[in-house]
Amino acid sequence: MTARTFVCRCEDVTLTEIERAIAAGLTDVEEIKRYTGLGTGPCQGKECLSALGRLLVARNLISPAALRPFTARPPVEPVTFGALAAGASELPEDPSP
Amino acid sequence: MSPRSAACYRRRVPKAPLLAPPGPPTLTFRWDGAAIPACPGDTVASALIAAGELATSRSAKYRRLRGPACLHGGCGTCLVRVDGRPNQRACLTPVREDMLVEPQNTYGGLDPTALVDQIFRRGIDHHHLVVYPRIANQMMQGVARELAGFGELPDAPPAEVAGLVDHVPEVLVIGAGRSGRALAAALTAGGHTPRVVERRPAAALAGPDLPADLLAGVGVFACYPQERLWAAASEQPPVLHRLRPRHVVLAVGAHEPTIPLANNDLPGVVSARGLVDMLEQTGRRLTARVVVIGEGARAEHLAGLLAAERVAPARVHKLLGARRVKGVQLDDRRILRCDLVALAPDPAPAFELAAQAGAPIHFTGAGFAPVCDADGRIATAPAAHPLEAADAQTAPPPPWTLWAVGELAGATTPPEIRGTVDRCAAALLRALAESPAPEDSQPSLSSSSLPGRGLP
Repeated sequence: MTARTFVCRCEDVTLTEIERAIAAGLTDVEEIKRYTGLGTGPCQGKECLSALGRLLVARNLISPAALRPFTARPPVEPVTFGALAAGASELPEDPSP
Repeated sequence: MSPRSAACYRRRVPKAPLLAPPGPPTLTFRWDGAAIPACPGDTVASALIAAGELATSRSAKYRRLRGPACLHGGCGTCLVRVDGRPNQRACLTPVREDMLVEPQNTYGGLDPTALVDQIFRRGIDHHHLVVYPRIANQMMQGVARELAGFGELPDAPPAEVAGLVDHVPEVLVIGAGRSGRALAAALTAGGHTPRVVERRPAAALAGPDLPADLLAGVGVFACYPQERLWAAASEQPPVLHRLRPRHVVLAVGAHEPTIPLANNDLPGVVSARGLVDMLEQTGRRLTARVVVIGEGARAEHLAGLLAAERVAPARVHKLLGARRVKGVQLDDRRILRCDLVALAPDPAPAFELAAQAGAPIHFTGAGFAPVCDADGRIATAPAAHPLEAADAQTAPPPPWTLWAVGELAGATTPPEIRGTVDRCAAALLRALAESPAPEDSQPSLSSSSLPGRGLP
């Protein structure tokens, strides 16, 4: 088996592929996600996002202050279509003043 | 995949179990042609690891074997099919007698890894791979479509229609880990019992300090600030929960990110934190040889709890093994033989729900976290990013105050976690005293269609 170093195990994004994206001029989490598919699997970046952020900062490709995560969209936990369908009824009145 | 007859399941007793049971195993479940012994406190993942069954799936591109890794419901490589329902997290699924657990995306006994390695020696560069000629590209797209996806459809539609429960709690605490439990106890002592929602099932939450008002096995999956709503769901029983709290405390802890090392995806490479928690929860004892890879006081502490040798990531040349991890090769060519490798990275705060709620997010050096004050009150200042600022202008201000405790608030050690809990509880009780709940927000639970079990 070929030795490979993974940054994102969900989508099989290796360090080599991150290097390729950096060589193509990308230095930002969002750009590298779009180029490699990193963070788009079932874990949605829980395992890879901060590993990539640390790598970019350690190589001085981006400053920590400028580093942004990619957008954390729902669902952050698995949810079935059946459960979502149960929410079709109207929300009760807003309790806040 | 249809359930095979129980008669064909041979009892596969491992020569040396990796995790010794707390007592004689009293349960058996079916796994990929084998009968796996288990104890009542086990999850599917803990019983499989104990039996030395470390692989549960194959990966998306290189078709490499993968197995339970984070042991905490986060990583997505322990997804299995349980009694005909796909994509169940083995690490969060309690064992039941005679349940049928099947691997997903493993292609029977075929091992495509070697073939993929032959064809794609230098990796799969999908920007240039078979883009031309067009006919080859079309064929490849067809193959890629067939290979994509996780698991297969369920055997049957769900037996029950999902229920719906609306909650209007004064305080919602998300997470019943160390910080969530401590905070709930402090608020209860101050006369304001919060509703606590925890994604782990009740079976995994034994302990004397469980919150009084706890919904276990319910995962908060979204915050919708425009709809002024938090949403959570359980799969069994299937229920959707809509929550409209006045205060939300995020006690969601942290993720364990991967450490980029050669072959860091081998079955048997797990999170050190996840392994420690699994042993505590199941009462199992480590009999496997473990090497911890990590730096700093936290990694050292975890290695101590696992009675394992610790090496710094910089010293690791690669992890050894093919179907499971067998050892760690160091830069000086020395090899440390082991059955499990436990990664101890700096934890990355679970910032996702805070971000959905509109909190400004910053990079801490280890990961991303919401900006909060010393009491854990999460800032509602204008977002740093122009796109997020545009969203913030059109959205009405949310009707809740957002708080962070524990690892999300930057704590890493138990005393620091305790500190964030104490400060947050004091500030939150002050806020509740200054602005009592309006009369019409009681009772705190209203149900539109309540299923018959599993709910207060």
